[in-house]
Amino acid sequence: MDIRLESHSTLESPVHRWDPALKMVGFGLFILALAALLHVHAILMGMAASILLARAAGFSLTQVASRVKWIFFLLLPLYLLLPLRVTLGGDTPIVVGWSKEGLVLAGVISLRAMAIAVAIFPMWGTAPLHVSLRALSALGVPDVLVQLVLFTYRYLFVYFDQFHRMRLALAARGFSPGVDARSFRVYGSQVGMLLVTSYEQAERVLAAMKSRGYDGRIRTLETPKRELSDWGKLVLLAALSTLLVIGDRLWLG
Amino acid sequence: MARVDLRASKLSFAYPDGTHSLEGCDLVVREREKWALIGPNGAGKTTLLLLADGLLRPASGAIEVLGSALSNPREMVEIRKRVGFLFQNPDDQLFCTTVLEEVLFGPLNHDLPPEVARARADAALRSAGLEGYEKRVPQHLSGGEKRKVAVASVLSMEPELLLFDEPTNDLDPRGRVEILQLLENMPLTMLIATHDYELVLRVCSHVALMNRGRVAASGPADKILADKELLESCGLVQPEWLPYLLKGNGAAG
Repeated sequence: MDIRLESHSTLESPVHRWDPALKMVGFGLFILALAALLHVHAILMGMAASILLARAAGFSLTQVASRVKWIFFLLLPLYLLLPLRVTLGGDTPIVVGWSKEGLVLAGVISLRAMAIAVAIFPMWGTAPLHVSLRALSALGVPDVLVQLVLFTYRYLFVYFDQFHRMRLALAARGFSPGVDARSFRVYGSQVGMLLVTSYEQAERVLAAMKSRGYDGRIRTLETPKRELSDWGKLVLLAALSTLLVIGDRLWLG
Repeated sequence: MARVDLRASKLSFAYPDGTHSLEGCDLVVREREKWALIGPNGAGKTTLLLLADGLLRPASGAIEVLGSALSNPREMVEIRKRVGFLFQNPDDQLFCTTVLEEVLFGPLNHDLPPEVARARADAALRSAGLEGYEKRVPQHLSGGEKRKVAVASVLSMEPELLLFDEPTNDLDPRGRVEILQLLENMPLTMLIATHDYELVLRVCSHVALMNRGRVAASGPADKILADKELLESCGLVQPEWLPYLLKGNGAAG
């Protein structure tokens, strides 16, 4: 699975050319609007808008689908849990059943989450991470939060690398994953060691950054210049976000 | 007499788990001298380098780097602007999206104007033989190329003192030769922790032989390496080919 958000940051598109700080504001509003949608039709429209924005930023449908599918898998338990209806009392103490409303709710939640996930591609994938983070700083987001995002993202790769190496080392010694007690013990040890070794490497990464003068502030070579078109794009996306919410509340319900 | 760039006096350090890494370590390195730190694993070589870069604080004793006593956190941060540290594993050091960003990271952290930072980065890339690599992703480079990017990212800070932690570790023969040539041609004060005797003889004028957290012996590189008994008393083995190399250099026999 490719977890790099920045893999498309060197492409050319109207979204790439957008001033990073205004892009953050615009997509922030759009994501808030998506999160506020309640009805399936409105969420479907929101999803369509997200996909269009991702396409405009140069992401193919296959690329988007291959990454968003993981969100769907993560949300699969909702389809089991939300329709579950448990009634207490009466002659039989506990009645377990299924409700259609729960199933619809699971669908609404997962669709909304996937629409937001799709919107994250043009938001974060169209500029190098440090440029996006500097934009957040410029918008007044506290440095602590900016650093939190930076390190969370960077350390994800550390974890993935370590995990991959451990998996190879286990396979090289004949371990085949199973669902028995021994396998679970191995998984437990693997996760424990992963945390320990990744923590140690993360400490070394931080030391290496400090040794090159990192003091918690993100600096970039580029000096952002805002033009009228940047503000125009912001107005367009803010209008789209507002329309989605109004439509959801007034017409699409 | 040349300026003292690094002076360690009765330097001691213990890690939080209680391991005493340095115990009464003394060393003096003068301007433009190239010193090798050799010794068995756990002798305290890396710890000494980390202390010299202000990344660790000594438990007792004193360390003076480029005239700064490193006695408070402010001095420890300031010294990193003048000292370059190459970490043992380039994957600990390289974390940016492109080679250019990586090499710019240090100069930008020192708040240099963008055009100066860019000029320094270009010069460092040239010195390391990495012209044309600017847009490459560091994580996708070979081991030797990664190491050269790490060197360039340190050189772009125009350090007065260079600290290298096993710079030829894990390199293929070609990558190793390239790094050796790079180190040979740098007219800077250097402290290199290494197990690579050929590197020591080719690059370094002096050797500090470390054992159990202190400098057991120091002096001209060929003299220290020629003393088989001394090396063995510190847990090192003199390779069979070393006397022939030393003979070739006109040293011991």
